[in-house]
Amino acid sequence: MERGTETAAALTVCPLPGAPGLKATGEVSLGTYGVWEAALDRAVREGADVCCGGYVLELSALTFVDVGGAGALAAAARRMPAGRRIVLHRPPPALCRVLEMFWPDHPAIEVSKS
Amino acid sequence: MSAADPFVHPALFYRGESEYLAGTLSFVRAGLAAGEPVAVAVPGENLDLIRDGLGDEAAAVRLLDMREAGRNPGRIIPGVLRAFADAQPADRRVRIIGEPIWAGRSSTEYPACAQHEALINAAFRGRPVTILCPYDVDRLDERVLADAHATHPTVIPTGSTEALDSPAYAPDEVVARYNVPLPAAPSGVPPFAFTADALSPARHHAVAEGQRLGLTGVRLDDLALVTAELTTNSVVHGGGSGTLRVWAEGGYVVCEVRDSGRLTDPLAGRRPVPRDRRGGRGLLLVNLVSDLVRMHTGDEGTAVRAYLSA
Repeated sequence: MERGTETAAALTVCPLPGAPGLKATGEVSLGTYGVWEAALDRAVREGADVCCGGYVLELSALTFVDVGGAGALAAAARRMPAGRRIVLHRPPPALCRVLEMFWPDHPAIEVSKS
Repeated sequence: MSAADPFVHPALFYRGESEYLAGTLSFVRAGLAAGEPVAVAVPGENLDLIRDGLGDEAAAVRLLDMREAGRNPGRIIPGVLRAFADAQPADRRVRIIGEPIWAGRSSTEYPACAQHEALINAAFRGRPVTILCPYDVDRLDERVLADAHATHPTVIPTGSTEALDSPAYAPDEVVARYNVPLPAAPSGVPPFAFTADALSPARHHAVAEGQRLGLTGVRLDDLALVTAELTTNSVVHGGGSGTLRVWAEGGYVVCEVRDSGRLTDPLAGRRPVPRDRRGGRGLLLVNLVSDLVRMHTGDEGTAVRAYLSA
């Protein structure tokens, strides 16, 4: 149980080896929006050229994404060219819950739980 | 209120099943006959009565159990009423029966119920929508019935079918009257003070407490989300810091956040947000996932309590 001893939220992002995509580690909240949005901008930029398979965000090491972070993801996905999409690999369940609540059936977001 | 407001919001006072059915079925049938979209959101046992009474016509009506869809009164405007009304063609009047107050509502829930009924007027002002709110005169107490006269511009007395102007109509006063200080948290619940740097530890604290108090799975995720949104609001809009407390009460886990800000928009967290708008969903999420949200705001600050059942 953490009781205020933990330091502020952290988020790091690095390229995925061997596939077009990024891996995010940490959490997405007020203190890490900057890093998250930079990663999403990169995903939109690089993902524009990725057709089959989509641009992967490997999120299994994300512990939490708040509603603002989910909103940034939905906004980024809207900027993807038609037919291109962002594939979320093993996103935290809270992110899926928020996406289903506010952006169900987003045409440019695919969730892969495997 | 302008007589030209296309929004119509009568309270239907009823005594017993036959009056309930007389008032509600005629309302639904008039809507169906006019080609209007109709939804009924009432407690389950009343929903059964209406469904049976409508027979084949029930298939054309959206039926919702208000005990579930409207368990949290703060969820009803965005999650039930506007969710239905906003999805209909703009050129049609929309009809909804909404029964948010039933005899089993607790004294903890009731202030949020009364504020909800009052805020419906502001939420739908100017829209061609009719929301009929049944009140069970035999089983609701005097105060509830008196409040219904203040939250509805028109009322249909028991045994009548005619809506009369309500001289007591004063929805803003109801919102203010039930904006009461929340009772103190149980003694022994440790306060967790947070600033921008401690949003993450605050959330971890809430999750650890929620887990200890029996929340699991989705509900634990919801507690994390609720805590994140409330504490982030304190940091961004509520003076930059706040105090979090989590405890168990009456079968719920309660997450309370207090800060020094003042909430000036009474409809905050009750408006659906268009898909392509990026922010502004924090309090809406809290309303959508919680079983009850109670709030007090004033010069001395803002306190929000979200109740989550296991």
